[in-house]
Amino acid sequence: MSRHRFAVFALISISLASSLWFLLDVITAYSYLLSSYGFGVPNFDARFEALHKSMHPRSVLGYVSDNPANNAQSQAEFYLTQYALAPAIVKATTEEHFVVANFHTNSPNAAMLRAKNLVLVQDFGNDVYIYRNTTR
Amino acid sequence: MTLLYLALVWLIGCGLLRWLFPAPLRWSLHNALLLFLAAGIGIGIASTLYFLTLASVGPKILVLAAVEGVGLMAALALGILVKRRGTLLQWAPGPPTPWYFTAALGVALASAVIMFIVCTLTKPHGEWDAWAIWNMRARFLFRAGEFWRDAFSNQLDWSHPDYPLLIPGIVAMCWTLARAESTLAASAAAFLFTLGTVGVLISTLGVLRGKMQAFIGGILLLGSASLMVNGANQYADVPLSYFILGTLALLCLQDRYPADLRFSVLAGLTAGFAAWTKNEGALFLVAVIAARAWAISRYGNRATLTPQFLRLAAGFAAPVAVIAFFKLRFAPPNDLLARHPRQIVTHVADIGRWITVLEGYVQETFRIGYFLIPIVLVLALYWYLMRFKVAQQQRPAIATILVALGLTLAGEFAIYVALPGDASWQVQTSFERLLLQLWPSGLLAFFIAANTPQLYAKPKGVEKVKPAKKAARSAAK
Repeated sequence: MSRHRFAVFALISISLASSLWFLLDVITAYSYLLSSYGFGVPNFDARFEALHKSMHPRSVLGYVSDNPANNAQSQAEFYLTQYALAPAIVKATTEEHFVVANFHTNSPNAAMLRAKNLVLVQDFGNDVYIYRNTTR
Repeated sequence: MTLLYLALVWLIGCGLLRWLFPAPLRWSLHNALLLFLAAGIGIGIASTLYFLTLASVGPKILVLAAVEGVGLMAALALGILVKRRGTLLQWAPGPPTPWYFTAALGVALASAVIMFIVCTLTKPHGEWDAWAIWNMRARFLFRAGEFWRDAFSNQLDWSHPDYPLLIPGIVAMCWTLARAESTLAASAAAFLFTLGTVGVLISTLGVLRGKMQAFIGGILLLGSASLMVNGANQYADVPLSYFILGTLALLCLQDRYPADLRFSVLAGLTAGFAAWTKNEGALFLVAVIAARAWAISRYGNRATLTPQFLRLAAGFAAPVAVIAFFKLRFAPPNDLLARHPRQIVTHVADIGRWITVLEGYVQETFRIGYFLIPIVLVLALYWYLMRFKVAQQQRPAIATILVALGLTLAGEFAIYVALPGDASWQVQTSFERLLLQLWPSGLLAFFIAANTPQLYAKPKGVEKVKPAKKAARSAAK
């Protein structure tokens, strides 16, 4: 009987303690998010809203960014751009007629854009631009 | 409006389940189990109807509303007009459950629900896979209009466009009928699946092993923060976990009530919806068929094999037909199957990959559920103190669960080994969620097998009670 009691109370205590401990973590993370700049999907949706509204649903766009290549943040931002602009298809290349630019500055690197043959078509604000590839 | 459409979808499930398992309309364990199962069944039916409507007539809202409406009316008519009496599910007899079990279950439920809500507020679009795969597919289906097939474009191969459509389908259906996008659709569906998983576990354990065992299992599952967090993050692993548990729970109930073969029909339907949720669900469907065949042949009545399998097949026939239609007509080839066989053979022959995956399996097993102490160790101690006692009648059920889970794990192991890319990264980023798919079913097997705790000493009179015949004889003397 005491073995049973110990087993049940141990299991329930660990279960409840773990749940409440993790709940504290989750609430702390939420409080941090509220008090800081929130990077994430809603932010991306808001940045790309104007471009999304102005596009034909069947557009295919290239993609350029000022993020360093091959890191998780760059990859996440590319996928988020695709998510925000769906049902347009965004390809991870500048070899398309129109190229969407996801920058983090309002003065993009002109030399890089020239090297990729990109000329500005429209500035949608929030560091989002549409460029045209002059070779396509 | 989004929540209203989800509620109507739930009603489709309620009507169908009430037709299959009629019971008086009052608060009971029977009706609680049906309500928890109805959420997933309703979502499965509504999402397949949405996909079939889209595939046959395109994005026509009036046709979609008519099809879903007819489905709802038919299910409600079946549920309301049913006359016959069926199996009535009740709490299994057991020792009285102390009040603090109910209190602990209440605390665990409150903590889990708050955790789910806070996670949803933090990430209303869900985590990476949710927005990069499931919700993005829903956006394509809803936003693209007549070009909805672009959702399966080869140009989106990084987003696995061959994945089935239960989650994107139900989200896009709600948006289409409401004529507006809302993150509530995916969040509310995720909530139904997450809490539904807990509900199905508690109700099934209640029927099979009694209230105390059900509450302990429920507290443990509610304490698994990974279930709540991944559920709120809108990962499809939680709905898949729900359907896997639903299937195995219904097969356990089939063994408890062998005469009522409707449990097998419903188990087939939930297994089919598991395959309509994620590709791993198809692996589970094959695993559960093999496991069931073996378990009945080894431990059960072989005469029931054919009738049970016919009912099981009748249940999964429709979802599997829809999946076949989707895969053959719309989905691009799966990234694993599209590889050259030589690449797969090279991976399989690499012993390093086997060791990496095995290492990942062992490590992740100790992290299940985000508990403060590895829960497998706590469960091992619990087993040592309580011990298992499996009744003859429950052997086919336990064998079905264990073999189905074992085959699914083995199949996933093989996929990790053969999968393109870094096996270590694949295991680290996804195996935790694969274990989560099987965790509630593992708990079901564990608590069916474990002895019910005896928290109080039995009264002396109860211990020395005479068998009925002897008592009658002594009374006659």
